[in-house]
Amino acid sequence: MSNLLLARFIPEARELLQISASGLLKLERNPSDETAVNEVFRAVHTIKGSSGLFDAGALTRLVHAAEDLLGEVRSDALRIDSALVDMLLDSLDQVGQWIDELERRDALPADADAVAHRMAAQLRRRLGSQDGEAAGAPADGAQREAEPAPADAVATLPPALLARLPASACLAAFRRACGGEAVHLVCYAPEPGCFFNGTDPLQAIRQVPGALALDIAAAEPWGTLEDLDPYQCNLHFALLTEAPRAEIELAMRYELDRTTIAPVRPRDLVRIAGEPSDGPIWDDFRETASAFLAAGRYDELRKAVAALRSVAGPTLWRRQALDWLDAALSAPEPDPALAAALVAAAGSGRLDPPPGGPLPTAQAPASQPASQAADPRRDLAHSVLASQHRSLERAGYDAERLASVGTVVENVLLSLGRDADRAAIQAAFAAAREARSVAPVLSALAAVLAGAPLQRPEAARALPETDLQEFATEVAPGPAIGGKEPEARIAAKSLKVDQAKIDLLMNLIGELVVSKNALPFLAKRAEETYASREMSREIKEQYAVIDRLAQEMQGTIMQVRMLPVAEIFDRFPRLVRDLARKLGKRIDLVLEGEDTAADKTIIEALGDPLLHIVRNSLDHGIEAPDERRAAGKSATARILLRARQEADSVVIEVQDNGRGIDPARIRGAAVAKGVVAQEEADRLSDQEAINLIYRPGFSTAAEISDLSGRGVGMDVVLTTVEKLGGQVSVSSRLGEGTTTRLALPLSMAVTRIMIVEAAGSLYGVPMDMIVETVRVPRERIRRIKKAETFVLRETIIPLLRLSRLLYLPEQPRGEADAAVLVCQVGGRRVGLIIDNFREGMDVILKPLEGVLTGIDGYAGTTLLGDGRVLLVLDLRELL
Amino acid sequence: MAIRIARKIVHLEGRCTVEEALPLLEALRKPGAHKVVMTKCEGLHTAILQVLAAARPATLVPPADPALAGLIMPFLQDSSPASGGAA
Repeated sequence: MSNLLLARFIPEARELLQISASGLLKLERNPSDETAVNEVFRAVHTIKGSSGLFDAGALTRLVHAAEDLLGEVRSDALRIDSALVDMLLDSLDQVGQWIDELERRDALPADADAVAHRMAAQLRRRLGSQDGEAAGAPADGAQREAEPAPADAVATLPPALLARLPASACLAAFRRACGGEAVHLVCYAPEPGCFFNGTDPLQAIRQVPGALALDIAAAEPWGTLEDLDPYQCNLHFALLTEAPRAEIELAMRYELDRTTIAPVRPRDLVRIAGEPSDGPIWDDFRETASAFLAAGRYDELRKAVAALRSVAGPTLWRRQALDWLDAALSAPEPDPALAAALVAAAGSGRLDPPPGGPLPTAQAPASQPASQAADPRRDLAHSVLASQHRSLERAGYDAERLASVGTVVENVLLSLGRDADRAAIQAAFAAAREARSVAPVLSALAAVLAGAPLQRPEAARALPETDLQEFATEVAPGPAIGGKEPEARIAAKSLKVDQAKIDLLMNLIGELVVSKNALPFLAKRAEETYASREMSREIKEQYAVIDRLAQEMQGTIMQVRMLPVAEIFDRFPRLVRDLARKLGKRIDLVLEGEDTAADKTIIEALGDPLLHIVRNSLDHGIEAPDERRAAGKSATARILLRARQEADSVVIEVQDNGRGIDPARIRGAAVAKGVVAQEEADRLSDQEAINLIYRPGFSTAAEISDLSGRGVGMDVVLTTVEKLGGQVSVSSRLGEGTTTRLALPLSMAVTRIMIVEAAGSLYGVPMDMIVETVRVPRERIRRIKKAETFVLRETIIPLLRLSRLLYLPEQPRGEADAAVLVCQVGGRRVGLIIDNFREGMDVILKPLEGVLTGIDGYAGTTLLGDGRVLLVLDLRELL
Repeated sequence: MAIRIARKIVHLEGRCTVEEALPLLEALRKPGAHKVVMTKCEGLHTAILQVLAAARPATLVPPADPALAGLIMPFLQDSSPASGGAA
């Protein structure tokens, strides 16, 4: 990954997502848990903040929507429920996927914007619906009321745009506009260099809902193809949409500084075409209609229009004028000027230039100076400030929100060039922080909004690039005001290190341990070859010191690599919740001993087997609530995930109180699937029958569900765990539940072996397989047919000769007793006859590589202190 | 790659990204009458759109997707020379 910041952001974001998800689950159980709300809000807020640094607009937008929703939850304006938690979790999942994608390809997938928009809209709908209920009006209406479109900013329609709109759609839009639902013109002039920051203007403008017509135009005339720079955006967009202003702003929220949004006067939509016609009927109509209009008798006017429309030919120009008039009159309170113009048009056969009639949303003060009428930025600034005012009012005091509002307001004022207001606002924010109350800011904002007219000097007309840059630099330190710094200082105590570095360190320590083993050999040589007992003793003393240090280092590096099992346990609450909801089961998941630590490799490798076991429990073990009640159990089942340390292994148990495993069913299924023959199945004890589920190809699910039972059965669990040097066991009581127990070594890095002699060579045997070492007098070795055995504490132990197992020539030894290594292999005890025992030793086992991979019977190799290579046996394969 | 060039015919297929603007421009810079086939095009970046608008290929086959065609074709046909617009 090229970007260092991104490399740091990705793990941080994953951690925050995890925190948010677990917080949400807590919230679902206890909606009034304030700590959880704050935790989730803070995590989501941080993701949003940091993601803004990268080219991941879609991600930021989605997280922002989630944050808004959580903000409402936090301020108790919104009640959290399962559906909401589902929605939020889905959004977080999506964000998680995008993070993966960012890690893989440094960019979001192509459809990210659309997905973000859809999901964010879904989240916001939730926000909107509750707002609506609170206001006792439909969400749409409430929003429009809250954000009055200033009447003086009027759009000038590019003629090409109207031509793009089919006449019928145009008429429909006109009808709506007359009815008060303003049609907006969105003019979007993307920044020429916008392709480089990942903006796709065409895609952006397509996100605006309710589009009626789109006009694209070249900003500068196209030069010759040779001079064309395909990466400089030279297009302007004009979009006619019937969406309310808030929705447009939402869709274009990242390009708002390059966008103007203004309502279109209905008059500008009028477009009449048709054949000319003449006749007295039109003059009559004009007279009567004008009279009705003057008297305000709209009902009679409507009737007159309807009567004439029914007789006039539909292709006539004047008849079409009537259609428009009819639409204009369909509003409850028609606009007299517009109606008059249309009446005149129908009467005269031509449409006079617009008299500049008032607009549908005509509540704005008429006293505004006309010179400002055409400045769309004013109106934008006004709406931005108004929305900040509203959100502050709703949220109350909150240091983080206040800081971000402060940044926004300051930037708006900055771009308007209103330095005096900026100073006043800054003072108000300082006062607010001191008083821990939003009141000073609210009153200052209200003053700016209402009293002082928003004007700006001509110098700032074309929003200069430098302003934009200042905007960016000002945003960055913004969140720091919110009292975040102390948090950062605490976090700095732990260090994030690349795993490869730790692995390297561990390998080096391993080498050190091995080379340290050479010192005793040296001491021996000093004594034997050079006859210097003194020197030998000194070497041994030094060896003792180095040995102690090396062991401490080894222990410490192991500690570094240790991870708590919480790493894998943490994903289960979410998983179990989702699966339980899907299956309609009720499950109470209990986690115990999350602090138990084990080596990173072990913890990571454990994730999948554990997942498999828990899914199996959920799918096959736990019954449906009704079935449980019928069996006299509580409807809510319980799954217990427990980890603990036992000697030098970590034990993880998955315990459920479901229906348990039925040995008879297992036997039947195993025979049916050809896993075992009938006779063999009959011979098995119940426990042995249960163990059949670990055989490859065994899966008891009658039908394949999407949870488990895809044919990859429990045998995967067994192989994975055994590969790690662990063991799996299942115990189950029919009707009471099942317990699966995984036992794994704490660390795989260092293996303790015993060195043995056989056929004149040295071999290593892993210590965990050795039960004991005994010397058996020759006469006590009995032969049963061809097999040798001996009796150890009243148990018959079969004997094998290691040299024979390895196909090596046996050297007859004249000793009176045989050295026997009693080993535990695959649950059975076996005695290995060897030539002699040697010392035990800690080694770093190197697996056989290259052409040696295929050789059975060896677990790997290691270096001895004197530089010889020692082969370590794998007794499981050998026997 | 969503752009496929076969002699004088450029095919735009699937989603055309910003990276493909340059190869497209280079193809259209070569002298002669070009034909751009967008039948299988499902979406295109603004950069592609403006290369098409600036280069005015002699023949332009609109995308099969009516929504996309409705979005871009009026603009492209306006900026096409008379021969292209008629085709």
